[in-house]
Amino acid sequence: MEVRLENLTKIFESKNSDRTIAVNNFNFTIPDGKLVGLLGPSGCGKSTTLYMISGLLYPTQGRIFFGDEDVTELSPEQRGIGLVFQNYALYPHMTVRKNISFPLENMNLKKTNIDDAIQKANLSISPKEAKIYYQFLKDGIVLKNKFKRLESEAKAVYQSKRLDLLKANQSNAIKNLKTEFKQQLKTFQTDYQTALANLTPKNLKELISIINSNFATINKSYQTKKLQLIVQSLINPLQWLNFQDKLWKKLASVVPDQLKKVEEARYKNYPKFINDEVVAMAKLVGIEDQLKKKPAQLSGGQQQRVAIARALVKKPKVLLLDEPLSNLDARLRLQTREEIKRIQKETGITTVFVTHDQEEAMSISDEIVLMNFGAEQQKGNPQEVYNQPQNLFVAKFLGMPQINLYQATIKEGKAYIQNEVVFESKKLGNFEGSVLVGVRPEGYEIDEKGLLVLQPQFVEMIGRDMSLVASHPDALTPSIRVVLAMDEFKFNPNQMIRMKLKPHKTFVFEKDTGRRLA
Amino acid sequence: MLDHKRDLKAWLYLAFPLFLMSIFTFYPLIKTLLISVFSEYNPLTDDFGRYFDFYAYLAVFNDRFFIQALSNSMVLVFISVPISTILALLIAVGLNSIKGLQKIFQTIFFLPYVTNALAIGMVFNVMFSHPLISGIAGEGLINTLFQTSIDWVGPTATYDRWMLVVLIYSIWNGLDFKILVFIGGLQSISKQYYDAAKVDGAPKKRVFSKITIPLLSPIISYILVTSFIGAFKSYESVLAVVGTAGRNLDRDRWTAVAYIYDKIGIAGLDLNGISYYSRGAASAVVLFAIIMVFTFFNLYISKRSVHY
Repeated sequence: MEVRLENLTKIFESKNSDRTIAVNNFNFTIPDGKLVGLLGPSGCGKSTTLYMISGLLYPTQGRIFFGDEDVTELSPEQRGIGLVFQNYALYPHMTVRKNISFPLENMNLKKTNIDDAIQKANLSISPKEAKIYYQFLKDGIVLKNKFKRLESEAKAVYQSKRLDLLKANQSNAIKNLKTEFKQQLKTFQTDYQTALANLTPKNLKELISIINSNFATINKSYQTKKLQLIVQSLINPLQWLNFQDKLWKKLASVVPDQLKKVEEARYKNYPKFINDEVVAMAKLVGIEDQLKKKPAQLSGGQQQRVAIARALVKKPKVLLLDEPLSNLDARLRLQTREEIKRIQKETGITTVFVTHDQEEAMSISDEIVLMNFGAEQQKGNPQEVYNQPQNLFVAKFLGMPQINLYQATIKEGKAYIQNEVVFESKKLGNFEGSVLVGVRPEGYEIDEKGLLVLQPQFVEMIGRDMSLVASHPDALTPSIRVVLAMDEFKFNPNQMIRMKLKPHKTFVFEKDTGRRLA
Repeated sequence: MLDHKRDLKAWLYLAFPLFLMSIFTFYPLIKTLLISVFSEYNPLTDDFGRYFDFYAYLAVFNDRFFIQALSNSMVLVFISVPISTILALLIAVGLNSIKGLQKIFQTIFFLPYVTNALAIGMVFNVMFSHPLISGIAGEGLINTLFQTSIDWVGPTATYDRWMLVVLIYSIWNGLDFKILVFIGGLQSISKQYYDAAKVDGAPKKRVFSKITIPLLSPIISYILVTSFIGAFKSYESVLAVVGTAGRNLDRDRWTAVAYIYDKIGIAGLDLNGISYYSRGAASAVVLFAIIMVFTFFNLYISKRSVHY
């Protein structure tokens, strides 16, 4: 299921009429079956976006689409989403089994299944009437949602206007606004009533009675047979165990074809069905031997899996993960990362997850969206975003160790640091002035003829990686890091090092806006 | 070595409360037990007398008024405690879910707690009052409101009527503290579980029964145990609500504690040569045993059904 966010805005208003724009006019399409990471520093609006997709928060403005369906006004369970909370929110008093089966038990499977089956039966028994009737029911819901949406939009407009007036201290205007708003709501109500009346088929009662009587004629003879069979079975004590199952076996031979689905839904063993689903889900996430335990008896990684199983058991259209790995230790994080990727691949479910850890996002996402200040900074394939950052924020946020920044000036398409040309590009055009040059730590080459001169401080070795910590007078940070291959370098603290910059690892940013120039 | 030192410190901290408890709890407990088995005990001279026997217990169980008193207490325990707990739970959930005015309502419900039980009882007494000879005084608030002339709490009140008033009083009087504790408990339940339940599509009823109640169960259990014990020991509430002039209780309206209180107020022996004081002690021991058994039973049940 593709998820589309259109002009999504969320404004939090506190009591002392402070306004925080958490998400600002956010547009994004999450492709079907893809794993998308929302990435950004804390407070950038990524979790708010996730919670708006889930339906736990309603947007102030904008629309959310699942496929073609507008779900903006729908509640979480109507949307059909699975959500894994940051610290899992497993019910501590329930066993793992109960935790996973809880969403299924809430669905009232029997009733919905029977209703569905009856609808299908009616469509085949009296096709003409049933089609009109069920279309009317469906359209009615669509209509209701549409007016709900109009109302909530009007409310958002009213509240933001009210807040402005409140700040300007205009109580009369507020009063007018309020009556206006109430009037508007009333018009919506009457509009809705007329629209509903237009939608209603003129012979609605007739339709219903035809549908019901057709159904009853088929049902009648069957019901008497059924009653006989039930009485026969009840008399025989041997039949009492698994009564429903045994009865259904006998009924299956007498039930008319058109009612078969209905009766199947009625006599299905739902507890067994739920149990099977739970076990299947537990197997998928690899916790089938933990079902009897309480969440507190599980490790963090296992709890995480239970949370994912609970989110997936209803077969949601979209899976949402809120900082799924932040509560795990480093080793487990790596393992769970792969696990999430595997589960997502196996189920093919559209997945959105939120994280502030760039490594995590880059390693498992098919696509990442970088956010800051409630707005999108850049989106795309993780490696592409890393290789071609569109602005300073993106360049700084992605990459570990961080990108190194230098003060520089541009003259005639060439970037000067300490009056030496370190980088040139045609993209700079005729831009002149001072800029920031960013160099990825792996973007340096030791070269006798290199024009960037670094003062080495010390060398850090972490496993196979060696990084040189050095300083430069024009660097923005007191020390800069350079990742080097082991064999190419002998460390001598008193000798300056000359470096050449790799052009595809070097970026030029405008100083004030952070926009990338080249 | 370190452990030993820590032990010493712990005992030092405990010494003072232990000292007080031995004087005011353990010593009286043992003495009461002793008095109850010496049926000729003389409270004036503190003389245990010649006989070590269980006649005091026999006398207590043969006393119609003790059985009546015990049954009165039981009615209070088994009717008022469950009702007021359920009511308090519902009110607390309601209070917890409203947004505005929550503090005001909380204060209103908590007011009885900081008011003297006797005073409130007397207010009840006046509300339900009824003049014995009509015309001497006006009818109470309840009779006036409902245009009736019923003796609710006076000397001519039937058992059903005065018991009803006492029950209403105990239920209402028990609400304040329970609501306060429940609200505290409800607010300590992480909002996350409710968000999770919303995502899981749980209807409100199921959220209440499957999430709120189990997560609140340790507090519910605590409230139940303490209020059951409190109700077993109730005395002053009944005294204030249905006591007659001079604040004496009719013998039919005694609770178990009232019975004990009455017996230890009489020095000397009854017709069978059993000290009233020993009878008081024996009934106190019986009440103690009942409360103890009941509390153990309570804890046993809660261990199995409470999630900690």
